[in-house]
Amino acid sequence: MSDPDDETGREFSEDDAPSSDTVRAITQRIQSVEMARGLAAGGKADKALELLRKVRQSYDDERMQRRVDALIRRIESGQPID
Amino acid sequence: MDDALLRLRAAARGGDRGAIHRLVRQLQRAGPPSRELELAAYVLEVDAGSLGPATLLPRKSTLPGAPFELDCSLRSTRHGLELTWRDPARASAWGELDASYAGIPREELERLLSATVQIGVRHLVLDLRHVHGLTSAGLGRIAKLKDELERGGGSLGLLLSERVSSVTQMLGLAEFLGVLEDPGAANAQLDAAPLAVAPERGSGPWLAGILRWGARRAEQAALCLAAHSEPALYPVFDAVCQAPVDRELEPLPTPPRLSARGRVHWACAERLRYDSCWPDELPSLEGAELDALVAEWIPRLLAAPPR
Repeated sequence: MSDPDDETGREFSEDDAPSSDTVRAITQRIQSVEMARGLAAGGKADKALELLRKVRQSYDDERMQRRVDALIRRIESGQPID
Repeated sequence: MDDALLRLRAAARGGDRGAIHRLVRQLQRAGPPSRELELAAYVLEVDAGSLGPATLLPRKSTLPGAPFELDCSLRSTRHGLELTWRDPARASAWGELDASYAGIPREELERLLSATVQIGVRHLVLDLRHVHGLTSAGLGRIAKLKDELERGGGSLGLLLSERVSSVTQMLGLAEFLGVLEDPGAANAQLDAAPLAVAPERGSGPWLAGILRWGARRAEQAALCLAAHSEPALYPVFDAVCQAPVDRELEPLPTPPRLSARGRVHWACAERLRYDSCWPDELPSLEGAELDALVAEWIPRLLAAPPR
Protein backbone atom coordinates (compact mmCIF):
# COMPACT_ATOMS: atom_id res chain seq x y z
CA MET A 1 0.00 0.00 0.00
CA SER A 2 1.27 3.42 -0.79
CA ASP A 3 1.64 6.11 1.77
CA PRO A 4 -0.37 9.18 0.67
CA ASP A 5 2.27 11.42 2.23
CA ASP A 6 4.90 9.86 0.03
CA GLU A 7 2.94 10.54 -3.10
CA THR A 8 2.60 14.19 -2.23
CA GLY A 9 6.32 14.56 -1.86
CA ARG A 10 7.00 14.37 1.80
CA GLU A 11 10.34 15.56 3.03
CA PHE A 12 13.08 13.03 2.81
CA SER A 13 13.85 11.58 6.19
CA GLU A 14 15.34 8.17 5.65
CA ASP A 15 15.75 5.90 2.74
CA ASP A 16 13.25 3.24 3.70
CA ALA A 17 11.96 1.25 0.78
CA PRO A 18 9.15 3.26 -0.79
CA SER A 19 6.21 1.53 -2.39
CA SER A 20 6.03 1.17 -6.15
CA ASP A 21 3.27 3.81 -6.24
CA THR A 22 5.56 6.18 -4.40
CA VAL A 23 8.45 5.46 -6.72
CA ARG A 24 6.17 6.06 -9.68
CA ALA A 25 4.97 9.39 -8.26
CA ILE A 26 8.53 10.46 -7.50
CA THR A 27 9.71 9.38 -10.93
CA GLN A 28 6.93 11.37 -12.59
CA ARG A 29 7.84 14.48 -10.62
CA ILE A 30 11.51 14.12 -11.52
CA GLN A 31 10.57 13.67 -15.16
CA SER A 32 8.35 16.76 -15.01
CA VAL A 33 11.18 18.81 -13.54
CA GLU A 34 13.55 17.57 -16.22
CA MET A 35 10.99 18.29 -18.91
CA ALA A 36 10.61 21.80 -17.55
CA ARG A 37 14.38 22.22 -17.67
CA GLY A 38 14.40 21.10 -21.27
CA LEU A 39 11.58 23.50 -22.16
CA ALA A 40 13.35 26.39 -20.46
CA ALA A 41 16.62 25.55 -22.19
CA GLY A 42 14.73 25.48 -25.47
CA GLY A 43 13.37 28.96 -24.89
CA LYS A 44 9.89 27.90 -23.85
CA ALA A 45 10.02 29.47 -20.41
CA ASP A 46 6.24 29.94 -20.13
CA LYS A 47 5.53 26.27 -20.62
CA ALA A 48 8.38 25.34 -18.28
CA LEU A 49 7.01 27.58 -15.55
CA GLU A 50 3.52 26.23 -16.01
CA LEU A 51 4.82 22.70 -15.59
CA LEU A 52 6.92 23.59 -12.57
CA ARG A 53 3.99 25.26 -10.84
CA LYS A 54 2.05 22.04 -11.22
CA VAL A 55 4.94 20.13 -9.73
CA ARG A 56 5.12 22.63 -6.90
CA GLN A 57 1.44 22.13 -6.13
CA SER A 58 2.01 18.40 -5.83
CA TYR A 59 4.33 18.92 -2.88
CA ASP A 60 2.98 19.34 0.61
CA ASP A 61 6.38 19.87 2.08
CA GLU A 62 7.57 23.44 2.26
CA ARG A 63 11.22 22.61 1.74
CA MET A 64 10.51 20.74 -1.46
CA GLN A 65 8.34 23.64 -2.62
CA ARG A 66 11.25 25.99 -1.93
CA ARG A 67 13.48 23.89 -4.13
CA VAL A 68 11.01 24.11 -6.97
CA ASP A 69 10.78 27.85 -6.30
CA ALA A 70 14.55 28.12 -6.73
CA LEU A 71 14.26 26.67 -10.20
CA ILE A 72 11.23 28.84 -11.01
CA ARG A 73 13.15 31.95 -9.94
CA ARG A 74 16.09 30.94 -12.06
CA ILE A 75 13.92 30.60 -15.14
CA GLU A 76 11.95 33.78 -14.42
CA SER A 77 15.18 35.75 -14.07
CA GLY A 78 16.33 34.55 -17.46
CA GLN A 79 19.45 32.80 -16.15
CA PRO A 80 20.78 30.20 -18.58
CA ILE A 81 19.56 26.65 -18.10
CA ASP A 82 21.91 23.99 -19.36
CA MET B 1 15.75 -44.98 -25.98
CA ASP B 2 13.51 -43.97 -23.13
CA ASP B 3 9.74 -44.03 -23.24
CA ALA B 4 9.42 -40.27 -23.07
CA LEU B 5 11.50 -39.85 -26.18
CA LEU B 6 9.38 -42.40 -28.01
CA ARG B 7 6.20 -40.56 -27.05
CA LEU B 8 7.71 -37.32 -28.17
CA ARG B 9 8.67 -38.77 -31.52
CA ALA B 10 5.19 -40.19 -31.95
CA ALA B 11 3.66 -36.80 -31.25
CA ALA B 12 6.04 -35.21 -33.73
CA ARG B 13 5.11 -37.75 -36.41
CA GLY B 14 1.45 -36.98 -35.78
CA GLY B 15 2.17 -33.35 -36.62
CA ASP B 16 0.13 -32.11 -33.68
CA ARG B 17 2.05 -29.07 -32.50
CA GLY B 18 -0.17 -28.56 -29.48
CA ALA B 19 0.49 -32.15 -28.39
CA ILE B 20 4.24 -31.71 -28.85
CA HIS B 21 4.18 -28.58 -26.81
CA ARG B 22 2.15 -30.14 -23.99
CA LEU B 23 4.37 -33.19 -23.91
CA VAL B 24 7.55 -31.15 -23.83
CA ARG B 25 6.19 -29.12 -20.96
CA GLN B 26 5.17 -32.27 -19.07
CA LEU B 27 8.61 -33.74 -19.59
CA GLN B 28 10.33 -30.59 -18.45
CA ARG B 29 8.37 -30.68 -15.23
CA ALA B 30 8.83 -34.37 -14.64
CA GLY B 31 12.49 -34.30 -13.72
CA PRO B 32 15.90 -34.39 -15.30
CA PRO B 33 15.52 -35.79 -18.83
CA SER B 34 18.15 -37.61 -20.79
CA ARG B 35 20.37 -35.53 -23.00
CA GLU B 36 18.77 -37.05 -26.09
CA LEU B 37 15.31 -36.15 -24.86
CA GLU B 38 16.36 -32.64 -24.05
CA LEU B 39 17.88 -32.17 -27.47
CA ALA B 40 14.84 -33.68 -29.18
CA ALA B 41 12.52 -31.44 -27.20
CA TYR B 42 14.62 -28.46 -28.12
CA VAL B 43 14.58 -29.30 -31.80
CA LEU B 44 10.89 -30.17 -31.84
CA GLU B 45 9.91 -27.01 -30.09
CA VAL B 46 11.46 -25.03 -32.89
CA ASP B 47 9.10 -26.88 -35.15
CA ALA B 48 6.21 -26.49 -32.76
CA GLY B 49 6.35 -22.75 -33.19
CA SER B 50 4.18 -21.82 -30.23
CA LEU B 51 5.97 -22.35 -26.96
CA GLY B 52 3.33 -21.26 -24.49
CA PRO B 53 3.74 -18.77 -21.73
CA ALA B 54 7.30 -19.26 -20.58
CA THR B 55 10.43 -18.45 -22.50
CA LEU B 56 12.76 -19.71 -19.83
CA LEU B 57 11.09 -22.42 -17.88
CA PRO B 58 12.55 -23.67 -14.62
CA ARG B 59 12.07 -27.34 -13.94
CA LYS B 60 9.44 -26.93 -11.23
CA SER B 61 7.28 -24.60 -13.25
CA THR B 62 3.63 -25.16 -12.47
CA LEU B 63 1.90 -21.86 -11.86
CA PRO B 64 1.58 -18.62 -13.75
CA GLY B 65 3.50 -15.73 -12.29
CA ALA B 66 2.00 -12.64 -10.75
CA PRO B 67 2.17 -9.49 -12.87
CA PHE B 68 5.71 -8.36 -13.02
CA GLU B 69 6.37 -4.79 -12.07
CA LEU B 70 9.77 -3.36 -12.61
CA ASP B 71 10.81 -1.40 -9.59
CA CYS B 72 13.63 1.05 -9.46
CA SER B 73 16.16 -1.37 -8.04
CA LEU B 74 15.19 -4.05 -10.53
CA ARG B 75 14.70 -6.61 -7.85
CA SER B 76 11.80 -8.93 -8.08
CA THR B 77 12.52 -11.88 -5.89
CA ARG B 78 8.83 -12.76 -5.79
CA HIS B 79 9.22 -13.66 -9.43
CA GLY B 80 12.36 -15.62 -8.87
CA LEU B 81 14.16 -13.16 -11.06
CA GLU B 82 16.67 -10.78 -9.59
CA LEU B 83 18.59 -8.21 -11.49
CA THR B 84 21.11 -6.15 -9.61
CA TRP B 85 23.58 -3.55 -10.62
CA ARG B 86 27.11 -4.84 -10.56
CA ASP B 87 28.97 -1.62 -11.30
CA PRO B 88 26.86 1.35 -12.30
CA ALA B 89 29.95 3.20 -13.54
CA ARG B 90 30.35 0.47 -16.12
CA ALA B 91 26.60 0.04 -16.58
CA SER B 92 27.02 -3.60 -15.69
CA ALA B 93 24.51 -5.84 -13.99
CA TRP B 94 24.00 -9.42 -12.90
CA GLY B 95 20.68 -11.13 -13.53
CA GLU B 96 19.75 -14.41 -11.93
CA LEU B 97 16.76 -16.60 -12.47
CA ASP B 98 15.84 -18.72 -9.52
CA ALA B 99 14.78 -22.31 -10.19
CA SER B 100 12.14 -22.15 -7.48
CA TYR B 101 10.14 -19.69 -9.50
CA ALA B 102 6.99 -21.04 -11.04
CA GLY B 103 7.36 -19.79 -14.59
CA ILE B 104 7.69 -16.31 -15.94
CA PRO B 105 5.18 -15.39 -18.62
CA ARG B 106 7.04 -14.65 -21.80
CA GLU B 107 5.75 -11.09 -22.06
CA GLU B 108 7.01 -10.31 -18.60
CA LEU B 109 10.44 -11.70 -19.27
CA GLU B 110 10.56 -9.81 -22.55
CA ARG B 111 9.68 -6.66 -20.65
CA LEU B 112 12.33 -7.23 -18.03
CA LEU B 113 15.06 -7.93 -20.54
CA SER B 114 14.08 -4.92 -22.63
CA ALA B 115 13.97 -2.81 -19.50
CA THR B 116 17.54 -3.75 -18.64
CA VAL B 117 18.65 -2.10 -21.86
CA GLN B 118 16.28 0.83 -21.53
CA ILE B 119 17.47 1.75 -18.07
CA GLY B 120 21.04 1.73 -19.24
CA VAL B 121 22.47 -1.73 -18.52
CA ARG B 122 25.16 -2.31 -21.12
CA HIS B 123 27.04 -5.30 -19.76
CA LEU B 124 24.96 -8.10 -18.38
CA VAL B 125 25.60 -11.57 -17.06
CA LEU B 126 22.48 -13.69 -17.07
CA ASP B 127 22.89 -16.41 -14.51
CA LEU B 128 20.66 -19.31 -15.52
CA ARG B 129 22.53 -22.06 -13.72
CA HIS B 130 19.37 -23.03 -11.85
CA VAL B 131 17.34 -23.27 -15.02
CA HIS B 132 17.43 -26.77 -16.40
CA GLY B 133 15.36 -26.28 -19.52
CA LEU B 134 15.86 -23.65 -22.16
CA THR B 135 13.55 -23.48 -25.12
CA SER B 136 14.43 -22.38 -28.60
CA ALA B 137 12.37 -19.23 -28.13
CA GLY B 138 14.31 -18.55 -24.95
CA LEU B 139 17.58 -18.95 -26.80
CA GLY B 140 16.23 -16.70 -29.55
CA ARG B 141 15.32 -14.02 -27.05
CA ILE B 142 18.73 -14.25 -25.44
CA ALA B 143 20.42 -13.94 -28.82
CA LYS B 144 18.29 -10.88 -29.55
CA LEU B 145 19.21 -9.34 -26.20
CA LYS B 146 22.90 -10.04 -26.85
CA ASP B 147 22.64 -8.35 -30.23
CA GLU B 148 20.83 -5.40 -28.69
CA LEU B 149 23.51 -4.97 -26.01
CA GLU B 150 26.39 -5.37 -28.42
CA ARG B 151 24.95 -2.78 -30.78
CA GLY B 152 25.10 -0.37 -27.85
CA GLY B 153 28.73 -1.27 -27.14
CA GLY B 154 27.82 -3.71 -24.39
CA SER B 155 28.03 -7.44 -23.82
CA LEU B 156 26.02 -10.38 -22.61
CA GLY B 157 27.45 -13.38 -20.80
CA LEU B 158 25.46 -16.49 -19.98
CA LEU B 159 25.97 -18.89 -17.13
CA LEU B 160 24.08 -22.09 -17.83
CA SER B 161 23.47 -25.33 -16.01
CA GLU B 162 25.76 -28.16 -17.07
CA ARG B 163 22.93 -29.81 -18.94
CA VAL B 164 21.81 -26.76 -20.89
CA SER B 165 25.39 -25.77 -21.48
CA SER B 166 26.22 -29.16 -22.97
CA VAL B 167 23.25 -28.85 -25.34
CA THR B 168 24.41 -25.44 -26.52
CA GLN B 169 27.92 -26.89 -26.99
CA MET B 170 26.50 -29.79 -29.01
CA LEU B 171 24.59 -27.37 -31.19
CA GLY B 172 27.61 -25.13 -31.62
CA LEU B 173 25.73 -22.21 -30.08
CA ALA B 174 27.85 -21.63 -26.99
CA GLU B 175 30.12 -18.99 -28.46
CA PHE B 176 27.31 -17.34 -30.38
CA LEU B 177 25.25 -17.00 -27.20
CA GLY B 178 28.18 -15.89 -25.06
CA VAL B 179 28.12 -18.90 -22.74
CA LEU B 180 30.72 -18.49 -20.01
CA GLU B 181 32.57 -21.27 -18.29
CA ASP B 182 31.99 -20.30 -14.67
CA PRO B 183 31.18 -17.34 -12.39
CA GLY B 184 34.86 -16.41 -12.34
CA ALA B 185 34.81 -15.89 -16.08
CA ALA B 186 31.55 -13.94 -15.74
CA ASN B 187 33.06 -11.68 -13.10
CA ALA B 188 36.15 -11.17 -15.25
CA GLN B 189 33.96 -10.19 -18.20
CA LEU B 190 32.08 -7.61 -16.14
CA ASP B 191 35.28 -6.29 -14.59
CA ALA B 192 36.78 -5.81 -18.04
CA ALA B 193 33.81 -3.71 -19.20
CA PRO B 194 34.84 -0.15 -20.01
CA LEU B 195 33.53 2.75 -18.01
CA ALA B 196 30.20 3.93 -19.35
CA VAL B 197 29.77 7.31 -20.94
CA ALA B 198 27.70 9.59 -18.72
CA PRO B 199 24.05 9.39 -19.76
CA GLU B 200 22.37 12.39 -21.22
CA ARG B 201 20.71 14.59 -18.65
CA GLY B 202 17.00 13.76 -18.29
CA SER B 203 17.29 10.53 -20.31
CA GLY B 204 15.99 7.19 -19.08
CA PRO B 205 19.47 5.94 -18.11
CA TRP B 206 20.13 9.22 -16.29
CA LEU B 207 16.89 8.84 -14.37
CA ALA B 208 17.73 5.23 -13.56
CA GLY B 209 21.14 6.39 -12.41
CA ILE B 210 19.83 8.85 -9.89
CA LEU B 211 17.11 6.46 -8.73
CA ARG B 212 19.93 4.20 -7.56
CA TRP B 213 20.45 6.70 -4.78
CA GLY B 214 16.99 5.86 -3.47
CA ALA B 215 13.79 7.40 -4.81
CA ARG B 216 13.41 10.18 -2.23
CA ARG B 217 17.08 11.10 -2.32
CA ALA B 218 16.90 11.12 -6.10
CA GLU B 219 13.94 13.47 -6.01
CA GLN B 220 15.72 15.98 -3.83
CA ALA B 221 18.90 15.63 -5.80
CA ALA B 222 17.05 16.12 -9.09
CA LEU B 223 15.53 19.35 -7.84
CA CYS B 224 18.89 20.60 -6.61
CA LEU B 225 20.63 19.62 -9.83
CA ALA B 226 17.93 21.37 -11.86
CA ALA B 227 17.97 24.53 -9.76
CA HIS B 228 21.74 24.87 -9.79
CA SER B 229 22.09 23.96 -13.42
CA GLU B 230 25.68 22.87 -13.10
CA PRO B 231 26.64 19.63 -14.88
CA ALA B 232 29.70 19.17 -12.69
CA LEU B 233 27.44 18.81 -9.67
CA TYR B 234 26.31 15.39 -10.82
CA PRO B 235 29.48 13.52 -9.80
CA VAL B 236 29.32 15.24 -6.41
CA PHE B 237 25.82 13.95 -5.85
CA ASP B 238 26.75 10.58 -7.24
CA ALA B 239 29.65 10.25 -4.83
CA VAL B 240 27.65 11.28 -1.80
CA CYS B 241 24.28 9.74 -2.52
CA GLN B 242 25.67 6.27 -3.04
CA ALA B 243 26.67 6.21 0.61
CA PRO B 244 24.11 4.83 3.05
CA VAL B 245 21.75 7.36 4.56
CA ASP B 246 22.51 8.23 8.14
CA ARG B 247 20.66 11.13 9.67
CA GLU B 248 22.49 10.62 12.93
CA LEU B 249 25.83 11.65 11.51
CA GLU B 250 27.64 14.11 13.66
CA PRO B 251 28.96 17.20 11.99
CA LEU B 252 32.60 16.73 11.25
CA PRO B 253 35.00 19.28 12.65
CA THR B 254 35.88 21.72 9.92
CA PRO B 255 39.42 21.05 8.77
CA PRO B 256 41.88 23.71 9.93
CA ARG B 257 43.44 26.31 7.66
CA LEU B 258 40.59 26.38 5.21
CA SER B 259 40.19 29.33 2.91
CA ALA B 260 36.83 31.02 2.66
CA ARG B 261 36.05 29.03 -0.49
CA GLY B 262 37.32 25.87 1.20
CA ARG B 263 34.79 26.41 3.98
CA VAL B 264 32.09 26.75 1.35
CA HIS B 265 33.19 23.43 -0.14
CA TRP B 266 33.08 21.83 3.25
CA ALA B 267 29.62 23.19 4.05
CA CYS B 268 28.28 21.99 0.72
CA ALA B 269 29.69 18.53 1.20
CA GLU B 270 28.33 18.30 4.75
CA ARG B 271 24.90 19.38 3.63
CA LEU B 272 24.96 16.82 0.87
CA ARG B 273 25.92 14.14 3.32
CA TYR B 274 22.95 14.92 5.54
CA ASP B 275 20.35 15.91 3.06
CA SER B 276 21.30 14.75 -0.42
CA CYS B 277 20.75 18.39 -1.20
CA TRP B 278 22.82 21.32 -2.31
CA PRO B 279 22.54 24.18 0.18
CA ASP B 280 20.14 26.79 -1.19
CA GLU B 281 21.78 29.60 0.69
CA LEU B 282 25.31 28.97 -0.53
CA PRO B 283 26.72 30.31 -3.78
CA SER B 284 27.29 28.07 -6.73
CA LEU B 285 30.76 26.68 -7.13
CA GLU B 286 32.78 26.79 -10.29
CA GLY B 287 33.80 23.67 -12.18
CA ALA B 288 37.29 23.46 -10.67
CA GLU B 289 35.87 23.94 -7.19
CA LEU B 290 33.39 21.16 -7.73
CA ASP B 291 36.20 18.92 -8.94
CA ALA B 292 38.05 19.69 -5.71
CA LEU B 293 34.91 18.86 -3.77
CA VAL B 294 34.72 15.43 -5.37
CA ALA B 295 38.43 14.74 -5.14
CA GLU B 296 39.14 16.09 -1.68
CA TRP B 297 36.17 16.58 0.59
CA ILE B 298 33.73 13.90 -0.41
CA PRO B 299 36.12 10.97 0.23
CA ARG B 300 36.90 12.43 3.67
CA LEU B 301 33.25 12.74 4.51
CA LEU B 302 32.42 9.26 3.38
CA ALA B 303 35.32 7.81 5.31
CA ALA B 304 34.25 9.52 8.54
CA PRO B 305 33.11 7.04 11.18
CA PRO B 306 29.46 7.25 12.23
CA ARG B 307 28.66 8.42 15.71
